Amino acid sequence: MKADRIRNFAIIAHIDHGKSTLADRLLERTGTLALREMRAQVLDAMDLERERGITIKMHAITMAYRAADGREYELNLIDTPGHVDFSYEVSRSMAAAEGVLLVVDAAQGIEAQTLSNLFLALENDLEIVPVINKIDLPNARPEMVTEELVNLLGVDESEIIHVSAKLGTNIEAVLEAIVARIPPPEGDPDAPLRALIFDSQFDKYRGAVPYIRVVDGRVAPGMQIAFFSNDATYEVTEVGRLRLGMHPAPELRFGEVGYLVASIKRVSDTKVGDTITEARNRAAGPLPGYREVHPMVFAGLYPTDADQYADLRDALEKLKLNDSSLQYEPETSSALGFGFRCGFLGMLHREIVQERLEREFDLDLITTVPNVEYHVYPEHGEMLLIENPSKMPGAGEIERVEEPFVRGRFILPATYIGGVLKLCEERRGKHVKMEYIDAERVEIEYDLPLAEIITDFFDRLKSATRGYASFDYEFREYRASDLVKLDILVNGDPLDALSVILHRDRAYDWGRSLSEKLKQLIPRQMFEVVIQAAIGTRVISREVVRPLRKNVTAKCYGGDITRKRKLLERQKEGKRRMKQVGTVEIPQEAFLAALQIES
Amino acid sequence: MLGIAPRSERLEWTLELNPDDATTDRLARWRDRGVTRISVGAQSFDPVRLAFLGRTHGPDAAIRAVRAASKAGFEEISLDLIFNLEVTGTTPAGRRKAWARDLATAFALPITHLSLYGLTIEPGTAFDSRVRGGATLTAPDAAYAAEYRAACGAARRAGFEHYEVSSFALPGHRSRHNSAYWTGAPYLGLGPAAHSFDGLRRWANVSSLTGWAEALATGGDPRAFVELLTPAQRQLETLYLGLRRSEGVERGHPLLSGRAAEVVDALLHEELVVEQGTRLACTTRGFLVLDGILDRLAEGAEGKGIAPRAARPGMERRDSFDNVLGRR
Repeated sequence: MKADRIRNFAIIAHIDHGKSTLADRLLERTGTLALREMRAQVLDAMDLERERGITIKMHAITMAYRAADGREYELNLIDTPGHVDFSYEVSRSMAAAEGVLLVVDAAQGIEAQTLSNLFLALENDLEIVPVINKIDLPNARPEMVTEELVNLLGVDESEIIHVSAKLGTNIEAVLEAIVARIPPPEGDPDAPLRALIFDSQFDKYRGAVPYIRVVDGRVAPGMQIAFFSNDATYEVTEVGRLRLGMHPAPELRFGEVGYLVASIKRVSDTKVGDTITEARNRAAGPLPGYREVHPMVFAGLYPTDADQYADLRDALEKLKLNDSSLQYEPETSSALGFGFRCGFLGMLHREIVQERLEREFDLDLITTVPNVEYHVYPEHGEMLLIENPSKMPGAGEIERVEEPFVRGRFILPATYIGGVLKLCEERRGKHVKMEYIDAERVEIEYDLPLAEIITDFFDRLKSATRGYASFDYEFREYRASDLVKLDILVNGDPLDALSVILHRDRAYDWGRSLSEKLKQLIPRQMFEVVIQAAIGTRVISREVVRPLRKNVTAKCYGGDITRKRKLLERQKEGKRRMKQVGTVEIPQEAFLAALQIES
Repeated sequence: MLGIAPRSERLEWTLELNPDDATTDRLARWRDRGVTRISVGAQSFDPVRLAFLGRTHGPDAAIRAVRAASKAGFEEISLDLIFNLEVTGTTPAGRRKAWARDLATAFALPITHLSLYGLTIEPGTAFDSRVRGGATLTAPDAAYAAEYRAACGAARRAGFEHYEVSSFALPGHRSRHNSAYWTGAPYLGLGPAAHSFDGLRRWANVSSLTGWAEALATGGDPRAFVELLTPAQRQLETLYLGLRRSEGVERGHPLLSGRAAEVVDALLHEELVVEQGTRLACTTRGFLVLDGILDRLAEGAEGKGIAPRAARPGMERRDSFDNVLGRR
């Protein structure tokens, strides 16, 4: 297909605004999928994605469309993950396109994620086609949403397409707008190959298969290719187009979207945003925008049953095949035994990984309190990256600690402004701006420490605004904060898995509620158990579990022997779920409780 | 029974006596027929405590029973006492005094043996339903320990040996049949609900009288269960039964090696057990938390095959049978 007949586009929307339904309608209307192939929302393939109604892994699909001008066009829909955790991937998918459909719910209007995605699209210089979806809803208020979009984008009302993806209303208009308004790809067909990796899948037989957008030149089987981010070279064995499944093609030319097979062993070798070029005819430089994906949230993952350690290691290896953003390294906790410190892109990513480990690999896991990565500047020596609170040096050796801050964006009905401001202030937020986007709704921006968002922020926001606020954020920078490490000691032995780094003002409450909770959960032992919360050597909270004095003093005659032995055997079974710290036995519930501390 | 039992001075034949049933005549007759030992279920000598326990006998009945037995010529007389009672309306000081009086009364009597029980609430009993209804019937933990220690002290002063966690005896007057249970000797129980052990298997008869009688009449098996002990189960038994006794267990016991050896070191350090030559035995402190000690030891012995193996009547496993035989 000639480049002027190609249109590469993405769809962006706030969650539940109907992105996937609209994609389904486009596929159906262009005859890309026969009716029997249609499942609702075919692009969201993974079970978890379908359940949660969000897209985690991106996919792409090619459609053929005969437009009103009588010509045949090739439309490449590049799907984007719909969550802040994956914003880098979203931006790389957008970089593979020339335009986006910006979908807004006719009842909800613009939401925080709409704006985040829009800003990413603008950064990538994309043509924006605004679409108001769900106009069939009884509470739809398309005029209001139209006004919001006109204000936001500075477009003419007539450029906004009103559709109902559910009913299939006005889908033609969307297809025509893609053809008419989104520019065809530009590129140099004769220049050395440059192709952008925007996704990659792992196939048992073919290895890592990158999904690419060819920007310059062409790629075909037999060609030696190289990646800019590393020095590896591979021979291409197959290229093709993505429809429902992979369809081999003789070549991929500039402007086209497809996949490439080159016996690449690991997905981590095909980094999203990286540039592929021809090994013997290298392009002068890579496409802009590539960066190493860096985890933002860390947590220790431990098997409940120590026997599952090897299974957990194997499971993580398998997940990593398909998810190069997942990082992990072995870690030993005196309390929880052998496990892994895992790095995630964000909280959703963490939940997904844990859920997949438990669901697909049948593992029973304990997760430590999630934390961010701290930049610790010691009095002497170089900056340390601390992603595990128990590795934090002593307070005396530290000059300052910096933590990641994000720019948080809220959109909400004005009635709830008070609740959101209060929450942000509590969470050490710095107010940036507040403005009305229409008569009833405001947009608020705050700079917040990421650490304050990864615990129960979303739940608190939801209850403060009865679910009417939308929230999104992007990483800003590292800033110095008055942070301390809080340790929990049991009879003087630190429970390393319960150490946390937090702001000094919050340490007292955290320490107190955690030690109180532990007091309830640690069973009485034969000796006194002292639970302390401490910052360095300063104890800020102390609880005592009184020793167990009482045992059954009773006869043990012939008839009691079996019963007592069975009791002992059963108790022993129960004990397996206890963890020994020093001389104290601590039930696993105690560790789980720490995760449920209300901050 | 009185007619068929063999008579021998070397035999111990204990009769459990309800205090109300004791008359010198009866006791003399029993002694004449070969009974060598009388066990009196006194529980307490305090009318309030007896009423609390729902006992029908009066405060003096047990005293009279012990004196009658002694007068009838019995040398071996054992008494049961219960502590850990939280009698409504009693102050802590009142409770302490009542217990001290019970102990003083007991050791002033011509007894050679004392069995000591802490009141425990068993599920399904009348006490249990009262506790569920919000009543407090047992003393607080600190009082429990204090009363147990008071009993140990009183027994020691009276010259009694604390030879098992809940048993005290004058030298040479230990209960031989009870000791049999704790040392792994075989025993045969007759009648409904009776338990037996032949060195390899434990079994018990069904507990209902009619069920037991019917099984015997129709030639059926009157047993409620039979279990063939695995070597591991037998080891666990010898460990916990041994630690109940003042003799303790051999340090070389198979369940005291490996990780359990570290637990033993900790227990020694905590003075819950002491070394006596090649043996390891509980201190008084240790007896008070014996269940906890056993838990810790059993936990330490993990991986040594302590887990129970299914054994039901008629489903004995040949292989484990051989194991047992091979070990002995």
